[in-house]
Amino acid sequence: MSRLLCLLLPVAHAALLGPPPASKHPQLEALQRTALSTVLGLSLAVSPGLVAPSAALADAEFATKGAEEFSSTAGFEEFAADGGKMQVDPNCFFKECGPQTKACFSNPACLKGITCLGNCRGEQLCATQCFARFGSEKLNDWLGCTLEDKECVTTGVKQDNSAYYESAPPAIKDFTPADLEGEWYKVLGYNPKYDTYPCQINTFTKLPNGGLSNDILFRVPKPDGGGAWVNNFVETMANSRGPQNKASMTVEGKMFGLTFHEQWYILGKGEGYRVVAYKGDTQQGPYEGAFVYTKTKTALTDAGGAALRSQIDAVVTLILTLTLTRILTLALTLTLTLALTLTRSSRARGSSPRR
Amino acid sequence: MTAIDNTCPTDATTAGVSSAEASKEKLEWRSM
Repeated sequence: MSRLLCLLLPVAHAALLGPPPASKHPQLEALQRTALSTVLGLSLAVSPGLVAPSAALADAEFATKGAEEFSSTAGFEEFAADGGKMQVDPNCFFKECGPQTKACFSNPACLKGITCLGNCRGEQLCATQCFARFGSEKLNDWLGCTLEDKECVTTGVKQDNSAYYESAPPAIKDFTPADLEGEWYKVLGYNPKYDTYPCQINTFTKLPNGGLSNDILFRVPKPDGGGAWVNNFVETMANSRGPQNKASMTVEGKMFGLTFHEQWYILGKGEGYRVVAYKGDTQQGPYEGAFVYTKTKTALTDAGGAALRSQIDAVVTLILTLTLTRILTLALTLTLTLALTLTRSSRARGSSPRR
Repeated sequence: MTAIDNTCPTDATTAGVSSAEASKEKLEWRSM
């Protein structure tokens, strides 16, 4: 999986919530409210080619501790980290997303999923573990409706990702979708949030429209260290260079109920390897990462692995150099612009009548 | 770039709730 979508919900304390669905069992109603009161933060994880309560609570806490090292991502998570206050309309859960809320809140596994996510407080691996343990169509439907379709929770600020894709990494010119067909193993990952899950296999199959179907397998470690969950997603990739005409291929779809857009940039290709970078966004914010595919999972450790790694490193170094050059050029341009502005300003003041 | 763990031991299970869990609609105290 190359992506994980992240968002954070503010405190949705039970007392703030609107009336729960009519229940003949007051104790269960209380249970539902108790569960919701733990929804202090809700994080969604999505990934390709992107880990239990009595257990939801305990595991969520465990998982969070194990992934504190992860850096933050743009979007809701940063917004929350910066102390931003999100707008929540609890009544919206029931008024606008009544069927989805009723279906989820009356299903123990779905309710545990929400509780688990809430206790992650935006931490990515934790959220991915919650989805791996409690993921279901009911949970997807509830998230899709409340977060995306009806926007029951918002930051109050619309994300503008148009400029984000302008600073794309330099994709090779001679890429064709056929370059990705077949089975590939991810052996190197750049972003620890999205790219370094174990046992990632991506199988690309040609589609009649020139695009590719990407069958994605990846594992999510269980928080207690006892094995892993195997996740499987299928994405459709378009043979398109994207709105900015800079991508190698584009992806658009839904994961965990939320819509994502992604642009892939093939940075290098050679015998038995591909270097890929990507940028993506959801309603909750942008994300990015990079990874390396090889045809066998031991390609870098087998005989000849060192030579292959050298080829890959050469591609990555070149990209980093080009990126650094672009940053330096931009900094120089800004400096010159600032100097010019100051000079003009100084001249203007100099020509003004002095008192 | 960080090396990805591709040892892939056999102690893995399929992600997502089980069909038994997914179909259970009655919320009980022990569910929490």
